[in-house]
Amino acid sequence: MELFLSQNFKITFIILLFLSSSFLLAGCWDRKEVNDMAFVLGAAIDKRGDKNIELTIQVLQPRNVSGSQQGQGSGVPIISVRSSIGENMADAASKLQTKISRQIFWGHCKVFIIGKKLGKKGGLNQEIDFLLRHPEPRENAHLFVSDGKAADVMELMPPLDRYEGEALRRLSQMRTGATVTVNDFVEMLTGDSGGAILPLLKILPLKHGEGKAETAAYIAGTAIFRRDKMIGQIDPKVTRGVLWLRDEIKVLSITAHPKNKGSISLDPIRQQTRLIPKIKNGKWEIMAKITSENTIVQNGTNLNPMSTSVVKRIEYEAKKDLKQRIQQSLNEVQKGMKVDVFGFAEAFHRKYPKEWEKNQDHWEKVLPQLHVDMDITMRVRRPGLSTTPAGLREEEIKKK
Amino acid sequence: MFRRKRIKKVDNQNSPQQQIAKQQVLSSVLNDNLQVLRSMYQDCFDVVFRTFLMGGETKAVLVYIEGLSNIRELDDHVLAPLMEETGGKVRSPQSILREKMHISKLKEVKTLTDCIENISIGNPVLLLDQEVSGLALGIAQWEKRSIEEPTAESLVRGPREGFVETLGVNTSMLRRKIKSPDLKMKSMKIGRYTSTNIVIAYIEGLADQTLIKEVEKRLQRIDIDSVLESGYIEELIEDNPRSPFPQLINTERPDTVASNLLEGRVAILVDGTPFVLIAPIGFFSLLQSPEDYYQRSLVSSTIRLMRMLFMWISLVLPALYVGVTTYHQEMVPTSLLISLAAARESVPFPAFVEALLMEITFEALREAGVRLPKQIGAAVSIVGALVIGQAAVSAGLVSAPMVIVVAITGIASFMMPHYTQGLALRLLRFPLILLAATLGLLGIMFGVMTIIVHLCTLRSFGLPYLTPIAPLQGRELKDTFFRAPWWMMNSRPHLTGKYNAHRQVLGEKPNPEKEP
Repeated sequence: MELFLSQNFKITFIILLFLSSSFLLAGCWDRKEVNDMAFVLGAAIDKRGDKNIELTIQVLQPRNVSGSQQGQGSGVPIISVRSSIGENMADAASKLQTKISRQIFWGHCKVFIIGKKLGKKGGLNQEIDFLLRHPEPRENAHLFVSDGKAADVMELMPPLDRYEGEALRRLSQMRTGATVTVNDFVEMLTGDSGGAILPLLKILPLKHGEGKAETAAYIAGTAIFRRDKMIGQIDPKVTRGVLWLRDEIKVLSITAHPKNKGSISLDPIRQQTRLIPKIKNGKWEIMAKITSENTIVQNGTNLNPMSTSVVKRIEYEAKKDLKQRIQQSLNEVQKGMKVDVFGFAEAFHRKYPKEWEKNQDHWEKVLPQLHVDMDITMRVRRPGLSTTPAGLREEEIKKK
Repeated sequence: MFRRKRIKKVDNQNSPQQQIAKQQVLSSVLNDNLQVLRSMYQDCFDVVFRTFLMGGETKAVLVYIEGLSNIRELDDHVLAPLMEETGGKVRSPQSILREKMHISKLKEVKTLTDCIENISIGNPVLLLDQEVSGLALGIAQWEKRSIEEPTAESLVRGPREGFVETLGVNTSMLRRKIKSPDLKMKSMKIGRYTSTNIVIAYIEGLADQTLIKEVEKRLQRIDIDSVLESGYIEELIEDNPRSPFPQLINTERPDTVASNLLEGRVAILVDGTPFVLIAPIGFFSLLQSPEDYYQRSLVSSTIRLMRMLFMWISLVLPALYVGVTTYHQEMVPTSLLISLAAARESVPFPAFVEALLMEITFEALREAGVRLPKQIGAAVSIVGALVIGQAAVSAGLVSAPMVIVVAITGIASFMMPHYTQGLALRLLRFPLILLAATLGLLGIMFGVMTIIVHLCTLRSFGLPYLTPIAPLQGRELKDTFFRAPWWMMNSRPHLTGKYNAHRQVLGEKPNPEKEP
């Protein structure tokens, strides 16, 4: 009892009492239980009228998640789609809140889709500002442009993933097309070249027997931006050339066509692209040094890849194929659209800062005249698990 | 306002009879002595006064307590030879005692205090007429528990013996492990009524002399009416009585005590309990199980690392769960959050209340499991598992993830090799949950930092609690997160074993191929 009656104890107790009230006063104000929130899992922004935008979001419906106590099992979508119109993102979002009984939470939205019309209208940076300024949206969320209305993509129910947002994120992370996060996009917009790319989405056509929305979107090329305005789009084939120059190619294979009939496909092991700018007698040039190491995944020719001379030939053919492909995308983007999405401007700025300073204002004029040289080192490192082509007799195989 | 109010030292001696007896010398008249003793042992039916004639002529009395002495030895080797007739020869009582008594441990007692002390520990006291001193016969023997495996600290590999309640057995167990005469055991008595025997054990030349003095000083300060368990002593001699962390290890294992003595620490053995105190200790010695040193080093190092991980889990996991689900939802991976949201959908309480509810229920179950008789214990665990694991979830009172969190925390706290440390972590878990519920991860960081700062300020008999991390002792890290193989354990811990720094000869790494 002495302990509890002593002066010391009383004083300590009073101090602790005051301190504990600080918890109640300072803490808890931003407490949010998981079941008081509406998790946004994907968002689409479309142009609506001349001034407004339409914001469409996918919201998690926890009750429909299978495995929960009252789960209704699979088949029921775990998301619901809501949309509202506003002057800008923040305005539309606050209007959306009036339609949703729980607090909107952007922290798990990893996919933002921009409608093509909005992209073409320009002023995208105004909407991106919301994503950077608001504390909740992620800067590493993936950005897309949809070929049609972006809101349509939100309605889809992909057969493999639980909701379209997740499907798109996985698709993007596979790096089969351009992979651009909010951060990357802003960096591209503020970069020297002022050109930017975003993956372009199309909706897969319905297969027989699938319900109305039971399909997914896929990456069908790339949207090309000058500053914050979309100026054109390229198909997946041209996209690859762009990605080769941007050093972003990771998984795509090369198919070469040697003179004999048939084709041979190579899968990448390791790729590297370096852009080396050069100014000679006032003539601007760029050298793209590409090194590519590959493994053979299919050999449809009668060539025996175990022979070094044959390998040399395959490498040569693959090199030709790659060169042609890159040239095609250069023609289309550099010469056609006159926009630099390859990072040429940054390369010049880095190496020739003084010359760059003089020319940066008329880079658009310099760019189409820029000569791009390619130095490709193509290597076939592994022939795959079999040596000779399948299904051919010894005498049919060409060894040299 | 903050003035300290000094408590006057209370000195209420409330055992008057012992007061009288103190220092009173035995009288040469047997009857006087007897009278004093009888009055002291009034209403004590278990005290036996056996009067007889020694050698047929000298009046003698044996005073002993029933059940504390070996009666057969008393009959055969004391009463029988002493009561034998001398056959006419006149012999002095001294010579009879010298020749006839076959008892190895004899002690002369001169004061009443001595008499009572010996009688109460089971040594019968022989008083003779015309003598100013009596004899205490060392034939104390009472019922004791046999040596068993310590249940609270069981090992897979290692000695299976544990201390018992009898001090003599415990000291003998230590002596069997450390045969060097350098193992010193100093005895003292504490407790006005219980006068409990307490032994301070240390190895001379290894333990710091000032440490031994400090331990003795702190023990001598104690003036308490009873010491029924070493916990009494622990609370009276620890450095910071307000800290939730134990500053002395208690163990039932003689091998643990021996290894600590060999690192220059001091052990305090208390009669009547199998729990021996060890001082000084650090935080990391609480994370070491004796088995770490018996299993091969690679294995025990891994287990030790896992134990550290689970120590953190047992401290912060429920708090992390509460903090993350109420403030930092963006930190959870999306697919996990979807499952979490689905599981929490039907739960009526906030995560904080849910966590508190489950933790308290779990603690209650645990406590119930310890207290209940073994036969009912099984029933409790079944009910507990069903109630918590199944019914609560399906009734929608708590969410399944919370059950998992509490279960993992429970398992983690069972991993702590020293029960007392597990208790401290269990206790600190609740304020951390509160902090997490009010300030989120920031609160957890505040809490953990407070705990770490507190640990830094803590001392155990002058030894910094967080050695060898703070202050950093590079060489001692060999036995902190990892357990180096024995051929690398060349030096003793610096702060406790500096007086004899080397444990063994250098270069004992086995290398059979290269030997000639």
